[in-house]
Amino acid sequence: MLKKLSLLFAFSVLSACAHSVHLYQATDQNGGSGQLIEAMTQQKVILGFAQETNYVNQAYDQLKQQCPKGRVEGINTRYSTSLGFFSWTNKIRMRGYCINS
Amino acid sequence: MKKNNLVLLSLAVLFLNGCAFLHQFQMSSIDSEAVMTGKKFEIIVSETGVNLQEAADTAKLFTQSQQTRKEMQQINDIISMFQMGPRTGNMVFNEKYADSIMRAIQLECPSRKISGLTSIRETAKYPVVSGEIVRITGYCQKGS
Repeated sequence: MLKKLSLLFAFSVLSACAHSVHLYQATDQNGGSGQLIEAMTQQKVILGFAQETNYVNQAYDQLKQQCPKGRVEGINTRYSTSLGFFSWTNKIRMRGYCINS
Repeated sequence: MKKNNLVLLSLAVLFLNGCAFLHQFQMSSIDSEAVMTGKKFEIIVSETGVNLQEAADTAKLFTQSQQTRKEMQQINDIISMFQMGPRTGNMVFNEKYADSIMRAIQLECPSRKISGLTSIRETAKYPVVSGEIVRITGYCQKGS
């Protein structure tokens, strides 16, 4: 029993905070020096039922709002999932440089 | 001597039979001037991925006891309940490993005139573990 518990503990430690990175993308830059801006949204999924289906658009809108009078360059996008107990969280993180015109 | 060769052969089989899997490939726009006259750069970041099912299967090979094998499978089943969700490659314990790419691009190209970027997400698969890789290549044009 003790052996089983210790094995379970070891596996639990190993399995804590598990993630999967699905996509990483970077885009061009034109040489401008700008301010770093960031947007991050997420979607919680419980037993396959998604709570928020507009989270990618929200991240895109957040990024746009942070650079209302300029151009966003060098956008780096990460799409990942944090795995969980009968649930998971999909995450979108966008970072870029706001070049004011 | 023969024993040493056997050990070396086993290690070679273990580490050289990795397979690469491509998950995603994307390209940005191409500025022909930057691509033709610029300097090519490549950034690779990687994190160790773990396949606990394979780990449990491998662990089962080291025991003769059916009871222990059964217990290991039960433990693996319990753990898998805590790791539900879509996966690309194996799971990793640090989701932010690729975030350093943005800084690395700036270091490779201080002029920030970058074009022809390609983003590749791939997995180098080995027994139990894997390399979860993000590879970025691009062209850096010198600043004027």
